[in-house]
Amino acid sequence: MSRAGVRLPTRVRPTDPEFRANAAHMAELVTTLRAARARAAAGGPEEARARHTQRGKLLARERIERLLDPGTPFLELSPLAAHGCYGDEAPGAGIVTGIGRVAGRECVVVANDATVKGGTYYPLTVKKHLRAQEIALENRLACIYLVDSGGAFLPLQAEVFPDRDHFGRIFFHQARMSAAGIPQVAIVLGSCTAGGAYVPAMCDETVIVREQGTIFLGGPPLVRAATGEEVTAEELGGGDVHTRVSGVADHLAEDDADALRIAREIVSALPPAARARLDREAPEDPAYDPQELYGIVSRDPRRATDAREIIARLVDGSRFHEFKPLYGPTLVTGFAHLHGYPVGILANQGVLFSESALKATHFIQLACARGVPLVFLQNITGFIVGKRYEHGGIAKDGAKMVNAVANAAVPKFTVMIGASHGAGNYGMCGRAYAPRLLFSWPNSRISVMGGEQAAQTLLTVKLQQLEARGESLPEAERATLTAPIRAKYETEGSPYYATARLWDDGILDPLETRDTLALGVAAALNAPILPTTYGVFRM
Amino acid sequence: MSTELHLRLGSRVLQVGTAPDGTGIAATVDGTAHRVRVLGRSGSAAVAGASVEELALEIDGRPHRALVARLRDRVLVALAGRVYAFETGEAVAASGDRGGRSGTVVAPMPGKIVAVMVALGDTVEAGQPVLVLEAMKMETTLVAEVAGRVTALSAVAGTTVDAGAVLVAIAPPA
Amino acid sequence: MQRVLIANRGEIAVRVARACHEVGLAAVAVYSEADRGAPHTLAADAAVSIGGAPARESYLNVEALLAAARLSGADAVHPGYGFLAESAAFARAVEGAGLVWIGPPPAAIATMGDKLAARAAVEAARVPCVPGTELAPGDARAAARHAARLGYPVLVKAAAGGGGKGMRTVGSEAELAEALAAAGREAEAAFGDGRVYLEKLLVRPRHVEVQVLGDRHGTLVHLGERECSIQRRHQKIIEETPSPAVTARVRAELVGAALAAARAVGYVNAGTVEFLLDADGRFYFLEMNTRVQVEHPITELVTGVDIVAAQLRIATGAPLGFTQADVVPRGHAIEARLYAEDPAASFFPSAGPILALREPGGPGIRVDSGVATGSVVPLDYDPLLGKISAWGADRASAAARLGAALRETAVLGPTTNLAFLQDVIAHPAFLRGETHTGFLAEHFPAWRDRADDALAAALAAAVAVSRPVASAGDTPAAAPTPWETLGAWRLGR
Repeated sequence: MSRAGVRLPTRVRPTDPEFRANAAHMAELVTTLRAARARAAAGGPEEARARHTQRGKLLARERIERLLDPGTPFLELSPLAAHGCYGDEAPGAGIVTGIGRVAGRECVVVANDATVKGGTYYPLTVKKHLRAQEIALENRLACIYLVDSGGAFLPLQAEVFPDRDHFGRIFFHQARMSAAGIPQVAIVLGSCTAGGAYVPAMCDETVIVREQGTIFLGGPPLVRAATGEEVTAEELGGGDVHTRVSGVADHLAEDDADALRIAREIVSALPPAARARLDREAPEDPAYDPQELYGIVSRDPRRATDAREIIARLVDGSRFHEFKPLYGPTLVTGFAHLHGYPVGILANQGVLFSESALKATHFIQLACARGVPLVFLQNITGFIVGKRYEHGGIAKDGAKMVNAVANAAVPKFTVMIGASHGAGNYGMCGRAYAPRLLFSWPNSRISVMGGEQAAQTLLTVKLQQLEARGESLPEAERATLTAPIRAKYETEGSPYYATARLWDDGILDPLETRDTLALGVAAALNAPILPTTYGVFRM
Repeated sequence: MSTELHLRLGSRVLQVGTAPDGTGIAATVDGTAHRVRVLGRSGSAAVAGASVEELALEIDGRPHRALVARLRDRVLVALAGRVYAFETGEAVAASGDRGGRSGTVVAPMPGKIVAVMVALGDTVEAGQPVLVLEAMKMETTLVAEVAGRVTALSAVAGTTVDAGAVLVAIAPPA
Repeated sequence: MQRVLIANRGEIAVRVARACHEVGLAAVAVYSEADRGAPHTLAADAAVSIGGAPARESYLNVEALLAAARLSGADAVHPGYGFLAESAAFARAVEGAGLVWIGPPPAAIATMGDKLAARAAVEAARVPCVPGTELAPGDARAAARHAARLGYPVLVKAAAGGGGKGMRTVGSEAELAEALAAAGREAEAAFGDGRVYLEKLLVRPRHVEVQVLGDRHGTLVHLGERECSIQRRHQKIIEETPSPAVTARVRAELVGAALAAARAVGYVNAGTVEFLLDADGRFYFLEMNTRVQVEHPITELVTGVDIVAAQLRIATGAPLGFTQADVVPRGHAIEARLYAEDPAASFFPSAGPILALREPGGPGIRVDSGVATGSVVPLDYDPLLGKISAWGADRASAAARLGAALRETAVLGPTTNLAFLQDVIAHPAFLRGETHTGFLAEHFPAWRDRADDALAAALAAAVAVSRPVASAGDTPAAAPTPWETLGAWRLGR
């Protein structure tokens, strides 16, 4: 058939009490999400914002809006980075990153928010900056840095400066990307001090704003302390100096708006990006109302959510060409389209058995052989356990799946739509398996195992230890022992805890998922889709 | 890119295959070969949820002018004063036949039966939940794949079952 | 008279607006909620909303129509056909509001609107009527006696009726009582008047009608006859002029009777006197339609008279401007009515949006259309989409032209009778002129589309569904990506 797949049937009845309760629950979670996003998007404290704008400077998000092609999408990444960290003093970790269109091409934008502690780099700021660069590298997207930062946040220097994935990695990425032909453009809209000076210096082309942008390795106070020389910031490393004297910057702009205009010109003069080919169909909305996702996703993590009902509300025409529907039924695999782009979908429908793992391996090979991107809808408590299954080789079948996922060279995308526990996280393309983008739903949970299992496991171990010593634990004390474990898993398993630490690229309202994935697939086509080679499959 | 299409017109089903071939299209209708050339496509528009276009075609050397509207499950073709309303089969397939629907409800994994929602002799609809199985800390609702009457029921709430155990048997109406 | 409110919708409202513009008048359209933006509202100089989709809230709502006239500054009302066109009460209300009524005097409407009064009036003018009789409702024995005197088969008809409502064919006395009761109930429901009467049923009669035009200065002319025998559910779908069955001798008698009937009620403006014509050339008065007729275009095609423009002129009080001697019919014209209905399913009405539309053209072809691509055919009204008429030097060439025009026509969306119309006019009996009111029942009892070109259509469908095949320079990347189609997409918005 010209259009792959048949329309999935649905059993959803929006009048069911269960559906309504789920929908109300999800609506509440989304309201919380929106409130958290709004708080983070506001940036630094009121006084800092006022000071910033009084100087005639635009806020980070305003700068991005002016940089992007008008009326085009902006896929913001990790807007809730550092949520709940550093005493909540660094909303969004003081940096705004995302994928947007400039002069008709998808670019990664990295913008310091100078209203948050002068745009200094906390550990999670570094992590967010590096993650944006990683996305640019994997998808071959030009990088535009809107620089307005005081450099490293010194009180936490030990967590910012020395290690492999610390501050220095930013410039390492810039050098490597420039070498790979991925354009690097900086706009200096404020200070670029010390290490920060290398961001513009490492770029292919740099714009600086007169009497606003400064670049220097050591600022006036440091210079006075070191050499006794008295010098103003503008004399030391202002726009005029760098565009006329030092050559550290290339274009002199009058103000923010002028600088952003020049940056757009620079991007429009870049050679066109070669795009990977992916046969498309005419895009089509899902046949079922995506709003029903709210009522489909179980509010109780112990209750199964029907993966096909989810898929039916994400993909074009709700059409799904299912692969091996009768084999390994705890994993749903098949091909569908997102905004006309073909994708192979793997979605959990229960725990992973040997059959489901083998099916996943087969399906991943199929998608890679065809050059079709993969989408993982992760809702997994783990692989099956028990003597029968260990004897059946569940570990080696799970390993095959992990091998295939790790090596699959097609663009991969992961959405945490429910549970994410144990090796199931690996097999279903968790963060370690380099999905191009990874998002979580507000109802999702992530931890090595469920909190209840962890508590029971700990209790069992403790009881065995006591038993070996001939002791025992009274019932009343058991709860005292397990309660902190449950509490810890409750906190650390939350998607907010995860997104704050960049374990994902953001929490999505389920309704945003379809567009987000399609934008991701379209952006991924800036890089060629390479053939896949696998490691040794243990048979 | 070759395509294969099943078009239902009333009680007839036409199987149409197309593949590019030089400047034209090599087509088959129910196995018979035809030569198609697209002379023009124009007037593409989206109207009330349908995508509409006008096609000028040469089929086996004869010119044709067709207006075509594509809807979700149908393609309407106006040709020579008549309208052909083809069903594209998706609607038919959407009735949920993933093949191999079974009248037995089997435990997909070992686990504990949490609830049984049917009794022997009950009439069930396809898709109706019949029992809830808990395994690996997850509750899974098992549904009847076919409509019919419950003729056997071995599931008892609170008991554990092995993977592959037949829990409910449903006989479709004769 | 400056500004004419058109109290109607669809193709006739478009037709009247055109005529207004022809004679230098402004046209005001009215529309119900279902007709917002419909072609007839665009054809006028102003459009006024008059209420909900159900006709009784809008096109049958006298108060709303008069308010619309006041609001828009209209000084005259053209009722079109159907809806309130034959309501003497509406005509009086229009005149009572100080507006010009573009139609016959209300008294003429009232007389002709009551079948029994009409019959009495024309019989007095020696116009032959179908043998029949009045009945007291429920008087079964008297009915049986009358029926026996007329001779079976007989027809039970509603006194206040029209459009086939409250009408029953009775083949024998055994069926009579039940038919009387059912027709009475239907008439009561449809017209609020349960009176029914009996009439001799003619065997294989033709429906022949005469168009008349009269001014206020005593001029009354006829524009020849039309034959409208091809009917489904007592409603016409194909009409032609002249009738293939009317000889010069019969025509002379027929038009004379029509003029006499019109004079009997002091008729002014356009009207149509309907007759049944039997195989022996005898004709019987059926009724008079006191308004412009759906099928008026074919008369215009053969006579060159613009009937709607004439209606407007007559209403201003101007003389007709020509005499009987000036009316010289030329050639032959046939009209086909394009309905949104399914001829393969008891002509059940179809509704919904028009997805695509192609109208025919060429010499001698006239299209009167009330729909456009994207317009929605509501279920609330008569499902007439438009009319396609063909003129030819003789009947055969008119039929050939109409056939070609229908073949060229395309409507995607609601099911239409387009293919059925083509099969009817291509039928050998039609081409021989052997038409009668039972024609469709006799020749097309269970019509199905032959789907002659299913193979070509299937290939067209396959081509349309497939990606554009000439793909040399047409890379998939050229299709707009979500980065282009999603607009200013942001998280949370």
